[in-house]
Order: sequence, then structure tokens, then C-alpha cells
Amino acid sequence: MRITHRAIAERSSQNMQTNLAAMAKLQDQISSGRAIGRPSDSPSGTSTAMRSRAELTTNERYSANISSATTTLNAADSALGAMGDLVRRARDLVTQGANAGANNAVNNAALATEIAGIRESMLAVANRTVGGVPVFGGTTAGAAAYRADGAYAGQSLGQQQVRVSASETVQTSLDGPSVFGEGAGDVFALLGTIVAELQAGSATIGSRLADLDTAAQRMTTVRAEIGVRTQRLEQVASINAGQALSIKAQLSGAEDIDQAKTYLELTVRDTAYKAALQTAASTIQLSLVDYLR
Amino acid sequence: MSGFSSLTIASNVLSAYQRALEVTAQNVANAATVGYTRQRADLQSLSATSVSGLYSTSEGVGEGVSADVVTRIRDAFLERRGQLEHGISAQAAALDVAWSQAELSFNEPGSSGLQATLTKQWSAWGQLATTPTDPAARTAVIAASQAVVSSLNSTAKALDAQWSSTKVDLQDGFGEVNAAAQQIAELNRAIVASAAGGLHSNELQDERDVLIGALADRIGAIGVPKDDGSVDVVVNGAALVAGKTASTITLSAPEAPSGAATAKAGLFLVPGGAAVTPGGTMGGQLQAMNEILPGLQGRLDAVAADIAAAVNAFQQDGSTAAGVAGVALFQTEGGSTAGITAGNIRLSGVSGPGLATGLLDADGNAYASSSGANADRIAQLGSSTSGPDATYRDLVTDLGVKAQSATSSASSARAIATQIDASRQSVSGVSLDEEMTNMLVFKQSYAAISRVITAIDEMLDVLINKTGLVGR
Repeated sequence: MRITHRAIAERSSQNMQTNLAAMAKLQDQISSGRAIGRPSDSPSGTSTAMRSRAELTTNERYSANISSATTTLNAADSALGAMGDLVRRARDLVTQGANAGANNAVNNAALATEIAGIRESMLAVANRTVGGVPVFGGTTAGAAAYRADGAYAGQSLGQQQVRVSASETVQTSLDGPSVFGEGAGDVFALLGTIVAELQAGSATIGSRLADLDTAAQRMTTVRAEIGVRTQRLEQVASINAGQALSIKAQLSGAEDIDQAKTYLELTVRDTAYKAALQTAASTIQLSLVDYLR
Repeated sequence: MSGFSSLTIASNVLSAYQRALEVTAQNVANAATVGYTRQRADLQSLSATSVSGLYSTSEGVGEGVSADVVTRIRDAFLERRGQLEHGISAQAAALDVAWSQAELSFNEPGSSGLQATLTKQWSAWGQLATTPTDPAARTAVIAASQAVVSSLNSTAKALDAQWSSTKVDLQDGFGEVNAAAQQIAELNRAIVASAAGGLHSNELQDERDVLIGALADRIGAIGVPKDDGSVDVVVNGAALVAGKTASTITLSAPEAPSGAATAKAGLFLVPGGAAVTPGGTMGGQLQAMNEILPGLQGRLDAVAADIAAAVNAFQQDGSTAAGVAGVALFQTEGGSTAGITAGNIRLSGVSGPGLATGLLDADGNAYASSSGANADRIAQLGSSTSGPDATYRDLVTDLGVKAQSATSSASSARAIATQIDASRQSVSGVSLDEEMTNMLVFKQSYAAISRVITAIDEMLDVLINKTGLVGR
């Protein structure tokens, strides 16, 4: 193939252009720290990066949800603890009242007053809220779970489930009747009945002890269930944290440059570019014209 | 044989070598000119008269050399091939540019593209599912949904803007193409006339080839040489220049783009109205306007419709906190929930309390509750494998693959075109070394024939001045 000077010049210029373009791209990658500047740099990497980003945000959401759910369940647990203490106190008072031999009307009146006070305290505890939502109100949109007269003002239909992972939700709502008893058989009505019986000096006050025990047992069962849920939340929290790390590693692997490798490549390209420049300078200049007298 | 005939022959030879030297000078002067084809003076030896007649005789010795014929050294096959490959390479380059620009409109992967706004939207719904009674969470959902709408709108607008600017680019090229066609027709006329008159027209032919090369790049034209010396310029079967007459091309395209439903644009010849399927840069640009951009718009519209349909369905299948059935969240500009595209999607004006966070009861009626179960269902759309996120990711991955293959097609087409160009250069290019060598040869030959003239002159001198002088 016949070579002309223009051919040499054109080819040198093309080679320099190729080297320069490669160097510019490497420069871009190093200064931004990212290997993928646009989808065409690596279509599969782009897909992984987009998915990882979305997963990371979802993972953060789950962590926030877990701590929110833990707060609610802890509040429920402490409320049930307080309720348990109150019921025990009421039980002691009823035992006292049942001791028919040692009692008179004045004592009974005092007991009745105290038990009425306990009933008020229990209603207050039952109406505790977390974030403006009553803990024992089920899915109520109102501000209180129980009205002053002891009637349930919450919403039993449906549950509030908090999502803690892609496949799992944890229930944080507690329906008042399932904790404290149904309608006229709930613990507040029971205490009201006890107060009335004490004031009337009824002799069947002793049988109320069994009812109080039933109510206490019901609350303990719910408390145990809450304990199980809280434990599950702890487990999910640590799984979540581990997943966050692996998603971040995946994202970095898809998007970030391998620093050492890229620097090395830039050095190699730089050397090649310099060599191209030097050889171009020496070959283009020579021709027979220089040597003719 | 006359002594003076040798001198005449010798002087013809001198002018032949002088002419050869002039051709060399012309080559050297134009060594760097774009599109210049080297010329060569074909030295032909002149033979003695060999036609025998009744009274004519001949010595049988040749009569010198002639340098009348100056050939233009060009390979027609390589020329044709070069025009073809330049057309293909220019089209591939234009497609590469179109795909790259489209990629930029999407701004992925990153934290400012549509994917990021979608993720934030689903996360806001997730927050609402956990704390349905918090007004701040409701406001966050509305704001995040607005961000998604804005992102869809602006991406659709960016693609439309690309369509418009491609159209302007296309129209800008018409001036060049039409002027070049006109010039080629003129050159054809001039070249045919000079060929008829027996004159050389090498420089005119070079000029014509440069123009055809430019048209090959611009519109994918090839030159079809004719017997009379003219060259027709043909674009995929449509004759832009036929001999001495040139047509012009014109564009028929919609005024403004309308997303995926944009009507197709086309090129037509004037006069005649024949449709032209261009190659080259214009071919690439036309393909971008007719196929690439509307295709992308269509897929983006599908994502927008997906988002709207999914969220609206759940909204209408849930109850607000106050116990009212939810209404659609996304709608078109005109207020309907059908025919939603990325360009016309808007929020329907539903406010925070209007978000359907709770489920319907068993009979399908709404009821007041603080459950966030419906909001949770909407939040789960983000991780669904058939949801709008997955559709959008497919779009972006596909776009990346197509852009990548367009880039590699463009670079391989360019490599082929460069190779053909190098071959053409090797045939038609001026090598200074070669010209210098030729120059030496002609110079020495000139000097040698001058010596011969001197020798003949001395011989004649002897004959004229020294013969027949007896005793003087």
C-alpha cells in the first residue's frame, strides 16, 4: 500500500484523538468517583444501581417503622404493667371487703371510694396515647379509647399493621375489648359493680375475686403477646441492619470506580499519548525535499 | 532525412518534459488540498509514420515523446465504496448523538432522576402507613406525588425539546444539500463541455467529487458516473442531480411534537414530490424524529399510566381517615383519569385528609379508622416486580443497551470509513518523495535531451560551416 504524507498525518491525528478521548473519560470517572455516568456506560450496572438505591431507601423506611412500632408496643407494655398493679390493688381491697366479719358500713364505704379511684386511674391508663393515637383504641380515629362512663369508644374493625420487612408486618394496634373484656363484662364495668356492691353491703363480693383474676389473666396474656412481638421486632431490626450493609456494598460495586485500577489505566494512557505525540513529531516532518540540494 | 527535423523533434521533447515538470509542480502545490487527486503526465513515445503510401517513405525511427495525456489517478470502485461507507458512518454517528442526548434527559442512575422521586413517593406512603394520623406525613405524600408528576412532565418535555432541535438541525442541512446539488449540476455541464472540446477537466472533477462526498455524509448520496462524463447524484434510488439538472429537497413534518403520537416526518424532492429515504446525517436525524424519540415517549407514557392506574385503583379501594371512600390522586390536565401520558399527568387536587389510608370493610363501605393498611398496599407498589418501578427500570436498561450499541456501531462504521479513506489516499494522494523523484527524472531527461541538441547543433555546424571549404 502506497503511503503518502497526508495519510501519515491523518492517522497520527486520529490516534492522538483516540488517546485523548480515552484519557478524558478516565479523568471524568476519577473526578466524579463514579464508573457509570450514564446508562450506556453499563446497562446492567445501571439496573443494579437503580434497584439498590430503591432497596436502600425501603430498608431505611423499615428501620424507622421498627423503631416506631417498638415505641408503641413498649408504651402498651408499660400501660399493661400499670394496669396489672392496679388490678392487684383492687383485688386486695375486694379481699378485705369480702371479710364480712371484720367489716362495717364505714369501712365498706372507704373501700368503695378507693376502688372507684382505682377505676378512674385504670380508665386514664387505658386512654394513654402514642403520637396522638390511643394505644388501646384499635384503629380509632378519635382521641380516646374509653369514654368517661367506661364505654368503648374505639374502632374494632381492622388493625394497624406496621411493615418491618418486605414480607412481614407487625400489629401495633390493641383492641380495648380484647384486652380488658367485652362490653358489660369488661374490667371497668366489673369495678363499677364492685363499688356498687360494696356500697350496698352485698355478700356476693367474694365471687368478684374470681372475675378480677380472669381480668388480670387476660391482661397478662396480652402482655406476653406484646413481648413476643417486641422480640420479633428486635430480630428484624438486626436483620435489617445487616441487609443495609450488603445493599450499600452492592450499590458501591455497581457504581463506584476501582480507584487503583482507574489511576493505573490513566497513567498507561498518558504514556501512550506522549509516545504518540513524539513519534508524530518526528515522522511527519521527514521527506525527500529536505535532502535535495 | 533532414538534419533540421531532428532539432524539431528534440524541441518537442523539451516541451514534453517541461509539461511533465509542470504536472509535478501542480501535484506538489496541491499536496495538502482536500480532495485533490494526483495527476500524472503519461509520457508516450511517438512512432514513425507506419502507413505506407505510393510515394512516401519513412526511416522507421521514432519521433520523440509526447506528454499530452494527463491522467487523473483515481479508483472508481474505491470512490463508490467510500461514498457508501461515509453515508453509513454519518448515519451511525447521528443515531449515536440522538441516543446520547436522549440518555441525558433521563438523568439515571443518580439521585435526581425519576427513579429517585418514585422511591421517595413510595417511602412517603410507607411513612403514612405507619403514622396515618400525622398531618405532616400526609403533606409529605402529596409533595412526593407532585415531585413524581413534575419529573415525568420535565422528562417528556426534554424529549420533545430534543425532537424540535433535531428538526431544526435537519432543516439547517437543506441549504447545504440544495446548494451542493446545484453546483454539481453546473460542474457536470462544464465537464461535459470540456470533454467534448478535448480539454482536460481534472480540477473540476476533483471539485465535483468533493461535493458528492459532502452529500454522501449529509444525505447518504452516491455518484453514478455516466458515459458523457457527467455524474448523477442518487439518494437511495431518488435522483437528486440528473446530468445538468438539479432538484431540491424539502421537509414535511409536524410543527410541534406531541409526545408518542407525533406524526412522521419525511423528505421530498422538488419538483416531482417523490419521497426520499435519506441516509447519512439526515437519515439518522429523521430516524431519531420518527422512531427513537416517539418510541421513548411511548414507553415513558406507559410508566406514567402505570403509576396513575395503580395508585388511583388503591385510592378508590380504600377509605380516608374520616370514613369517606377515596378518589383518584392522578389525572390528566383536562381532569380525566383515562389517557394519562407523561406530558399531561397532574395531581387531581386531593389534599392530605383525602388520602385513603384505611381499607374498606367487608361490604365495601368506607369507615373511619386510623389504620394505614391501604397506604401500606400503595407503598408496596415500589417493590412489586410488575409495578411502575420495574417498568421504568426496564425502560432505562433498554435505553442504555441501545445507546451503547449505537456508540459501538458508530465507532466501527467510522473505522471502516477511515480504512476506505486510507485506501483512497494511497491511490490518489500525493507523495512528496515520489514527486521529488519524478522531478529529478524529468530534470535529468531534460538535461540529457539538451545535450543531444548540442551534439546535433555541433554536427550541423560542421556540415554548414566546415564542409566544402577546400583549401581555405
